[in-house]
Amino acid sequence: MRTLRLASAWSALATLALAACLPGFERGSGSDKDKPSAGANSPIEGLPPGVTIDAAPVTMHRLTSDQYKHTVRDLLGLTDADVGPFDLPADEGPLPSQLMISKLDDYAAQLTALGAHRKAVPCDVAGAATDDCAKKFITDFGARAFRRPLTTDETTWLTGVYGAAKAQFNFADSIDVVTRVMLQSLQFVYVREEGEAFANLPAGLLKVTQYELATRLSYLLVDSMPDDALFKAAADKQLTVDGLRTHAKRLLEDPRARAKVVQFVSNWMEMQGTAKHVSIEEAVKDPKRFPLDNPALRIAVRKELNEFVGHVWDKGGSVNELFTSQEAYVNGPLAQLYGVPNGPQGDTWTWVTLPAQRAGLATRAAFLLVYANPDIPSPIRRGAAIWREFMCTTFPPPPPAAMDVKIAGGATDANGNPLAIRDTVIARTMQEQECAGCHGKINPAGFAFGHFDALGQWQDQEKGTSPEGKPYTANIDATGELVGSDVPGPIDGAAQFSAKLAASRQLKDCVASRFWTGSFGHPAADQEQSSLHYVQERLASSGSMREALLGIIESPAFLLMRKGAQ
Amino acid sequence: MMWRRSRKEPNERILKDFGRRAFIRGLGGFAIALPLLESTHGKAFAAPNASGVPLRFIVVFRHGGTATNVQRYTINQEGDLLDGTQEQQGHNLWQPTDPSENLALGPIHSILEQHKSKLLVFSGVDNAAGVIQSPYNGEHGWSNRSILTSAKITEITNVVNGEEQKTQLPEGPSIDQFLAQRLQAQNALPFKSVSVAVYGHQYGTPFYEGAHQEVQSEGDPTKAFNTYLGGVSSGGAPNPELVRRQALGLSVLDGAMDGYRRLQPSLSMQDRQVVDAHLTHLSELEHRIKALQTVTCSVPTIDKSVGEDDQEHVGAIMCDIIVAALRCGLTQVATLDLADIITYWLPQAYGAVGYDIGHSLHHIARDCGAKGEFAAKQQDWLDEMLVNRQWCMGLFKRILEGLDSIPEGNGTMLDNSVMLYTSEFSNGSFHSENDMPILMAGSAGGYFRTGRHINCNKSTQPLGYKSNTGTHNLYTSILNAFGFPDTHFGVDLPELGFKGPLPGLT
Repeated sequence: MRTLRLASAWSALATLALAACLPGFERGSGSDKDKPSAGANSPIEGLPPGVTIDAAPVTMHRLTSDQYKHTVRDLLGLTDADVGPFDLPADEGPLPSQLMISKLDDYAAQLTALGAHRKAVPCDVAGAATDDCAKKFITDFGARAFRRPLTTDETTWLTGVYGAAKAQFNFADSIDVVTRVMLQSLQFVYVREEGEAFANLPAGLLKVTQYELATRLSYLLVDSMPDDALFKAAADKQLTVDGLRTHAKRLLEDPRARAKVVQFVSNWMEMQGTAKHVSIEEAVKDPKRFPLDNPALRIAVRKELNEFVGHVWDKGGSVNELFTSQEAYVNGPLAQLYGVPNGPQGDTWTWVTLPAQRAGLATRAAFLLVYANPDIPSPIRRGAAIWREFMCTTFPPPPPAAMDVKIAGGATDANGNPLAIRDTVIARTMQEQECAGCHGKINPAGFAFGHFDALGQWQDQEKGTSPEGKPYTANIDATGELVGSDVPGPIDGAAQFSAKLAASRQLKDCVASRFWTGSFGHPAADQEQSSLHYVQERLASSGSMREALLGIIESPAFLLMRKGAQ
Repeated sequence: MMWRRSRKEPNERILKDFGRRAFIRGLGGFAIALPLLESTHGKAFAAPNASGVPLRFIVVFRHGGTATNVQRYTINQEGDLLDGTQEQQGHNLWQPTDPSENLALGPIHSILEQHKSKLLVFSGVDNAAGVIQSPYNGEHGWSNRSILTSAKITEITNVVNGEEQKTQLPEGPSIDQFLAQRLQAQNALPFKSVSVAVYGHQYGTPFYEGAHQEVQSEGDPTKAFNTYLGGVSSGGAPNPELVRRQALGLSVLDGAMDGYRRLQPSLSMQDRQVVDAHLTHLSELEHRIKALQTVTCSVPTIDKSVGEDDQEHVGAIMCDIIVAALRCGLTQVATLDLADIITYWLPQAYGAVGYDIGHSLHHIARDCGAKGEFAAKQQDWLDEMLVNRQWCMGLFKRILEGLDSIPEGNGTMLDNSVMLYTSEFSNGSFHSENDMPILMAGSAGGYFRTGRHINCNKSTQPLGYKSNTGTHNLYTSILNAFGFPDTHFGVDLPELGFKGPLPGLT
């Protein structure tokens, strides 16, 4: 099993719920009328008109485990395979744990032992020590490691480290020592922004510096340190709004940007597992019921999801396509799972069109099998995931005695007919007002997926086992609704449901805010609401995830900052 | 203080200069770490243990609760235990079978029968700090963060993998780390504590060094071995490669700390706390290298092919690492964080359906009572729970027997230890923080009178529950046992029940 170390049940997928639901998300009002907005008199050229000139206070933040690995990869010219083992611990609060510091120290030693940093030493490390050579290494390698030129104090510090090492060790070892120090320094491990004063900005606002912008842009788009072109642009002060856009468009074509979006969608759908449900690979399924299932199938299910998202990204990043496309990249077993006629055989992969019952992310095996029980589908898990992940609606936690209850069908009604899962879910969640508040929204969203079994295969009828252990068959009612959303009205089945999702402004705003949170590492603060609203408008009007990212980059919140509390 | 040779390790060498040197180093070495912790407790340090015997504290923490019939109760209010006649099952596999002081081990503990004279099993002890603060008197985030800290819990919002989430953090240290820092100040062994884990399904760590300062445990057995035992010399001439590696490591740490110190003045308040945490931890790494240079001891060999995910085999290796670290005098405190692992390698009485997510098998407890949906499966559920929990108790036993095999003073190392086994819940299916599953082994050098059942359930009803005793009382007793005259541990709230040590333990 993978390790699951998540924190809270407040944000949890609730299977039964307690109280009236809280809309977790409302679109930014953009009503900062008393604050200046970009326009003809904007202090910074190129900002989108009408957006409030404001930004949030910054705190320094540690690179995520992925960012750390990508950064050492790109700094040292290594491969993904090389840096694979260098996972950082999943610390929950802002303070680093002892294990984190221990790993950073350890990894610095192991990475240095690979010797890749020596390519950046402008002389032979096996030869006699020359202090000029060491100093040039510190200055040049340091500027890439710290993502900006070293300050005088930093040069003094690192040449001091080198000097102290050289008094004890040979030249090569001394270069290693100073490299190990850099690889666990705050300047390397954290993104820390100072900003700079700029004429005519409202009080308290600073401009993010050129090198800091290069770093923001690079982590936002490719999840790694800036490349040479970005460093050069920063040095030449080219990172204006126009300059940022030019580099952003270049980086959006980088395979690392594609990989980041693929990862983003997977995290967004919680396909890596959380404390509330396990990952695609670890979701337990009943082998008797699902003979098609095996570990290779799960690997294929993830590959299909990733290829699909990557494909949509390559074609322009349309959110609409994400939720409605019937294109799928499948091998033999997946074609069988999806019921694709004349599909590929064995491990031959090809693009196919899925049957008409399926459209978009929510009808892929990945979503359907993760949000299900081991043997039978779970309308509650699926419905709650739809609301939470795609509509950004949060629910209060259910009472503990109501969490993780599997609701099965098969009990009989007064006439002796078997009840479907749907009937049982309604009976158990809609009779008490404290449950019905949330389940009135959750259940109808989940019911739309009733024709997909716990592995994601189409089923004409519901087949299960009654509480007494007898097999039963029940008709499936897959009518549902996004109750209380901006796209209300009944639908029948998952494909219609997906079309509703794709038409929803709330969903697009949710996607935009997720990109925001993922990019900045925090949800939009008060000062950033107008910028967020701009990004949401940009996504809604274009329909494109690429435009949402460009919108973030061109917004005041990206270009400006405030200092954290002293 | 000298270490005796253990029966199991005839070639074991004596830890050089243990005790005297370490005590002298004491406070100075951890000048940064201590204020972090002491600021929440503000107690003076006690004198070192009068007998001169080092005492050890070991926590085995098993996430997810146990199989019991406890519900959720307000502190000191009468409530009912479950009798199994409704939806919920009514068995208690944890509780001793005799409510009196006479210890008659319950089903889960039965594998410890031969060690009964060295055990204390508790009934009726609540995680009072958790009960008071948790939503519904029992929620994962709050219970995990309060069970060992008894602290005030604060909720923060953070972003993990691009996803916003709420995280609960304690405002003070857990008892193990609190004790570890005090003991380290008296007696600076290489490791303040040894922190290892068998990871699986769990809701965050219960171990904290101080406010918001979590302890992450190492889950990879080979890495744990390298961290805690890899720097130990087996004697003879110094290994030149190890000496060189240590010298390079010290040079690196020196340079790294210099860099962090230079930044301190220019930072915002929040950023400065992060930098201070780096400096504290870097100085601990430095201390480890220096202190290990004086240690000579034989360490066990471990199977390095066992990876972090191989939960079936990780636990035993971690136990052996803990025992070796204690035997070699590398630490006085060790913690084993055991996830809520459903042991799929054991017989699956309940079948694969229960394995949806780690602990949902446990939630079946709500539905396998006489009127429950899964009434027919109750016995299967109990059987599986028992095997599963006994497997976890087996890891506790492995450490217990490891320590008990090492002669020390007039007894064994176990006698000079306190081993604590607990969880964040009693009845996992109810998220109950009352009647916590608490088992202790070892007497702290004769301080505790062991071989007893300590029953703090004051109810006189046959299936009643009422308690004003909390884990904060037990932790105060443990501090007292280690020679620290504290009168309270954790958050100070009037609803706690009572403060001070748990009566009747000594």
